[in-house]
Amino acid sequence: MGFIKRYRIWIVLALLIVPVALRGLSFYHGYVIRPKVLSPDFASNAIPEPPISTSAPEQITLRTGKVVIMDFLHSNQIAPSDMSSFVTALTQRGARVEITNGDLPLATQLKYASAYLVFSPSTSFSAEEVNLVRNFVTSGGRLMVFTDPTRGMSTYDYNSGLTINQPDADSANNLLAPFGISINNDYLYNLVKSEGNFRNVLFSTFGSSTLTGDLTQVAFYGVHSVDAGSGMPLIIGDKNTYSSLTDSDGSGMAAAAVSADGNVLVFGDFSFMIPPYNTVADNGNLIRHIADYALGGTHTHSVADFPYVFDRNVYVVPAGGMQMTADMLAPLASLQNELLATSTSLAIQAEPPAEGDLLVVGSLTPSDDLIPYIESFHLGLDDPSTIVIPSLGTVSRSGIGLLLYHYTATRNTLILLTDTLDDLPALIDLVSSGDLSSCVTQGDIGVCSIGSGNSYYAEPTWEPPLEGTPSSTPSG
Amino acid sequence: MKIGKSEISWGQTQYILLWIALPLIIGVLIAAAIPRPIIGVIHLDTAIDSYAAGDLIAQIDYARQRTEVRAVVLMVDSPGGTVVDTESIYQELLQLRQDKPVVASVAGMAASGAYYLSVGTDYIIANPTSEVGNIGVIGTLPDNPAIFESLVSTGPYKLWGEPRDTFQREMEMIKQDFYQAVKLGRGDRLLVGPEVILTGRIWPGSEALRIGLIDSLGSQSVAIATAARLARISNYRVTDLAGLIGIQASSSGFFAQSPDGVTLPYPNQTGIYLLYIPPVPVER
Repeated sequence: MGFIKRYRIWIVLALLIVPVALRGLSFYHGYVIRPKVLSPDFASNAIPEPPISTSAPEQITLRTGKVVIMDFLHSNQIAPSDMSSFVTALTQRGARVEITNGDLPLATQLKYASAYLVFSPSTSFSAEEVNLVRNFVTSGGRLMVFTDPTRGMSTYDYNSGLTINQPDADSANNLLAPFGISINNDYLYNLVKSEGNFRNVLFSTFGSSTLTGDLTQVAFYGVHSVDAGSGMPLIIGDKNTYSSLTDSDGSGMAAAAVSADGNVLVFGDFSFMIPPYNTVADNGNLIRHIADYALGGTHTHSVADFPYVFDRNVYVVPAGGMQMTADMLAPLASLQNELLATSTSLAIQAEPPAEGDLLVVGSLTPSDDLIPYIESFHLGLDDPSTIVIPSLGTVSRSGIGLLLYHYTATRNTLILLTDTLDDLPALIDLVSSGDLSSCVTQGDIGVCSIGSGNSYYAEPTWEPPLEGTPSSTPSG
Repeated sequence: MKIGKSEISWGQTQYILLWIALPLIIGVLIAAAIPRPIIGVIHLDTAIDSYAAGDLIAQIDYARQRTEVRAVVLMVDSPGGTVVDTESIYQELLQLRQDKPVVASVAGMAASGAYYLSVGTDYIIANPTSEVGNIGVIGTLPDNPAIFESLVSTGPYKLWGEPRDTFQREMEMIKQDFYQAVKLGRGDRLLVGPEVILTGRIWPGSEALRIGLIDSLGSQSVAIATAARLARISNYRVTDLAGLIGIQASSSGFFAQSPDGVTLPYPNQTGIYLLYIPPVPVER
């Protein structure tokens, strides 16, 4: 008791504290110091703005008469309105844009086209189409292919329940195969620096070309990578630009490329042409350069391109003092109508004018004024019954008509020659029909069957000389 | 005589009762008043929408107010959801974390917005095959502005909200917010840069651990033990906070339904989402 009495205060305190301490310690093992919890500074994040447009007033070089053909026969995933800025750039340069809607065969349209544009095709090109386009490019026409990874056609298979994608790259590659450029079925992206979204890629590295010469930065909005092959990459990604195929460093990965001969241009995107993206960074300048490129080719025509072998008004020049007869005028009138359909006028002129294209008509017994037109073809005309044509060999004069085509930057000349002037109306008639299926054409020379020589017109009649023209016409 | 000497008198008994038994009883009573610590469990097993946000915020608020709730485990199995609701819950979680440890336990999936919430906790635990990540934003662009004969508005975007291009840029801003939250939440534990995590990939738990998206692999019991360790408690009680405060599971119809009643993985409204949508079957 003495102990209790002596320490009763301490005992009371201990008996009060110990249960509390025991229970407390059974639950809690110390004071918890919470770390400082930081909150993101949401207020500092702002909606990213696009790079400011750098397009400046431009000097437009007019290229009146040029025609650009835009493909719409391959389920192309594009609306004509999408191309408004590009079409405006073309028309400002005096060009005309035609679409392939089936009214005219592609073969015909390519005869007079400066460039053939294909946007996001969803169906493949036939072997014939590929061949036509290859010949078009070989003759200096320009092929421009634009694809877009967001534009592939999707179809739903009700049997399997699967969505089937038909990427435009597959169809485009079918057309591009002969030119050594291909489009990858991927998209490029950049997670480090982009134009508002990882798939909107900024490009600042360019190949050396008039298409990209003054560009600093362009923005593409969903873009396939392009394998330039033997050509040249035009617009090139940086080390942070990845391909969705590999998800790895895409240094040097191209978004656009041009073929080695400069006549095939391939873009992995065309959204950059569509408002409002056409005004971002240097996109506007790029669109104008593309328009210049489309019209800047040197599409050389051949005889086979008739009636699209003229670029200017055409003047008929009778060689050797030939007189215009009724038999001649009728087919010439037909030819005039045929050319009018191609927006080309035709007039008869005794002497070649200083400007304009020429249709020279005459006989295979060349007069002095005809020789300057045909000497470059190196024809062998010494034998009165045959012609020696360098690329074709020896051909009988009887019943044939000869088409010779000469192209320069300032004048195109088509020369129609027959053995005798009696046969000339038949040849003009044949040519004015636009159907050269009875002709063998080889580059600038065509040889046509026009019947049985002098007997094609049973009784050729000669009209009196036209007023003001030389009085006699040498006969064959 | 000895026996008589050792007998305790009534007075002595009273003395002992007064100075020993009574304090002991009082001490025990006081000790009994010390609450048993609770580890509150909050379940997120739906898409994050306004209903889920309301439920979660109520539980977070309860945990913050009640001293006996010493730690919280957020049990996550969600593909994410709306941006605004995710942000609301995230902000509340940060408030709670200032006072009490919060551990995320990923059962099936912590994708997109659900991972956004997870980085708002102190510690993330997932199963080896849990799906973690999908950091990013998705949305369907609004239509191009148009006008109608009989529907009149007072501005070009009154009907459309905003230009298509701005919509996309707004998504980019939200992505940056998300990324900032991940960086803050994971800190030095995050072992990869934006070029990896902003791909939007969804990783299995084991891979997520390797790149620092989570802290360890384990089940829910490990998460509870981790919460207890962080709170420095033992002999705790694990309590489902929703049940404690009487929250009934609510369904908002967040996901669209097919005509034959099948729930689709897409939201039933267009907008901007922090949401993982499983890939549709596509044959290329």
